[in-house]
Amino acid sequence: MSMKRINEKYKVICCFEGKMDTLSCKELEKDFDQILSECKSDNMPLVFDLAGVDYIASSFLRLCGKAAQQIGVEKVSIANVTPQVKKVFKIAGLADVLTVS
Amino acid sequence: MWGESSDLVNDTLCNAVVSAGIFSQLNQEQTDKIVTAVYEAGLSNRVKLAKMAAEETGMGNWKDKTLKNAVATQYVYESIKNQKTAGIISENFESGISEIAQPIGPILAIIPCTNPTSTVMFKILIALKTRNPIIISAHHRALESCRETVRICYEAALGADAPEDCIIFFERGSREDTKNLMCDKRLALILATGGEGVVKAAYSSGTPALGVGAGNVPVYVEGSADVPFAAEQILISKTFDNGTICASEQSIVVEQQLSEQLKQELIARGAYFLSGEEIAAIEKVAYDKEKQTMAADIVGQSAKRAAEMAGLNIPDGVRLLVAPQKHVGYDYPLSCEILAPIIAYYTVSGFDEAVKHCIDLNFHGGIGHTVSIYSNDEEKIKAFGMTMNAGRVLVNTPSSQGAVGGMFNTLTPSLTLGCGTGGKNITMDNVSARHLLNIQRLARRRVNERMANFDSSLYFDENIDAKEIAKRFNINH
Repeated sequence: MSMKRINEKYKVICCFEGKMDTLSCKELEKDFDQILSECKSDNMPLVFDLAGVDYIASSFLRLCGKAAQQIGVEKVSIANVTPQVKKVFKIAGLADVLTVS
Repeated sequence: MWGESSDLVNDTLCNAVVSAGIFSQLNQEQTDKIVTAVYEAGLSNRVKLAKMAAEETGMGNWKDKTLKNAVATQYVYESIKNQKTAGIISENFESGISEIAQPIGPILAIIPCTNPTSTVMFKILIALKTRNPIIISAHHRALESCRETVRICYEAALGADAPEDCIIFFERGSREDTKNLMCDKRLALILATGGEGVVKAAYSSGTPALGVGAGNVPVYVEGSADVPFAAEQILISKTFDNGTICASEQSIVVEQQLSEQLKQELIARGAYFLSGEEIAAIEKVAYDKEKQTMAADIVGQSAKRAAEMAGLNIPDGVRLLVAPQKHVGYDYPLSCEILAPIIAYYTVSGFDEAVKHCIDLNFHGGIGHTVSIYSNDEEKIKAFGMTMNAGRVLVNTPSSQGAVGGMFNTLTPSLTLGCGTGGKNITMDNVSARHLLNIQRLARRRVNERMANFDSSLYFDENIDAKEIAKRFNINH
C-alpha cells in the first residue's frame, strides 16, 4: 500500500496503490489528516486516484466520508476506480453522495 | 456514518450497506475462511450459549439447547461448506449458461425466544456464506444470550478478515425503530422466524422477506406402524427442549386397532393420559382464548411444570401430557399448536378417517409446515403425503429433529422452515444459503434450431391453427 500526493494548481490529488485495508488506512491516517487540513484551509478540491487499488475496506470508505464532511462533498471526488471498487461505492450508497468515476 | 440522521436505524443500516459493499469484493476462499472460523467459534461455545439461553428465557433445557446449537453450527456448516456462493458457480457449455452468485445485501434476522442462540448462529452462517451482512434483532426475552452469540461470532469473523459490521446486533429501540428498519429500502431481505405477528409484519414491510409461519403438526400412526418404535420416537421428539420446536408433534392420530397398544407404549415411556377434568385444567393454562393462541407462559415448560401451573398432581417421571380429544378447532384448545410437552390424542376408525382428521389439524393453524406418519405401507405413505399441505412430510421420524434436517433424513439442515404460500411464505424449503443469493445467468448465444428453420410468417396467417404450427415447428426435429 502507498499514497502519493500531487499538488496541482487547482486541486490536490492523492494517488493510492495496493490494498486499502484496515491496517493500511490506519497507517495513512496522520498524513491524510494533514492533507485534509490543508485542503480545508486552502479551499482546495481533493481527488482520490484509485487506479492502483484493487481492494478497499470500510476504513477507506470512512476516510472518504471524513474528507467529504471536512472539506465538503462537492470538493471530493474519487477517480480511476476499477469496476469492482466502483461497485463497492455503489452498494455502500457513497456513489450517490460523492463523484465516483 | 454519513447519513443525515444518527439514530439507531440509520446508523445500523449505514454500517450494514458499507459492509455489504466491502463483502462483495471477497472471493470464495476468503468467504469460506470466515464461515469456518464462525462455525468453529459457535460450536465451541455451544454449551455456554445453551445455558445462557435456557436461563434467560426460562424455556426448554440447556442440554437440548446444546444439541440445537450443535445442529445450527456443525450440521449447517457441513451442508454449506462445499457450496459455491461467490463468483461463477456453474458453467454449462451445451446450454451456454453460466451462473454467477451475487450477494443480496443487508439481511435483517428476526430471532425467536424459543430457539434463540441456535437460530442466531444458523442465520449468521448462511448470511456470511453468501457474503451478506446480517443484522440480528432478538426477542426481548432472549436479548443477552443473543448478544453474546453475536459477540462470539463477530469476533471470530473479524479474526478471519471479515468486513467490519458484517454482523450487527440491533439494540432494541422502539417498536417504531423496528418498523422503520424493516421498511428501509437499504435492507435487502428480512429473514423472519417467530410468531404470526412478526412474520406478517415482515411480509407487510415492502422489503422482500423469507418468513416462516406457525406449525400444528399431526402425527399419524397408521395400521402397519411399528408401534413401540413410534411411541419411542414421538416421545423423543415432543419432549425435546420441552417442545419448543415448531415442527414438534401437536396431535397423535391413531387407528382404533393400535390405540390401546400405543397408549401403553407411551405410558411405559413416561407419558401421562389426562382425564377430562385434568384436560380442562391444562387448557386454561396452555391456551389464551382471547388471542386464540398458546399461552406465552406455557411455552418450553416441562410436563411437570405445566401440570403444576394447572394445579395438577402427576406422578414423578412424567415427561409428556397426553390429552384424548375428539374434535379440532378453536373451541378445542389442545387441537392448536402448544409448544410444550402436551399433545392431543385422536383415535380413528381407519385410513380415510385418519387422513381427514390430519387434514383438519394441518389446516388448523399449520398449513404448509410439517406432518408426520409412522407406517410401513408405501402406498399409504404416498397417499398421505399427497393429501397434506406441508413442506415436510416425515416418515417414521421424530418430527422436531426430522424437520430440521440432517439427522434423520437428508433434508437441508435449517432452523427456518418454509411453509409455502399456505403459510404466507414464498418457499416451502428448509431455508439455507442458496435462498440468500441473487443468481445471475450469463446466457450465450444458442439459437433454437426449430425456430431458425420455421417460417415465422405463418404466425400471421389466421387460417393456421395451433396444431399445424406445432407440426411445422417440430418437423424433422
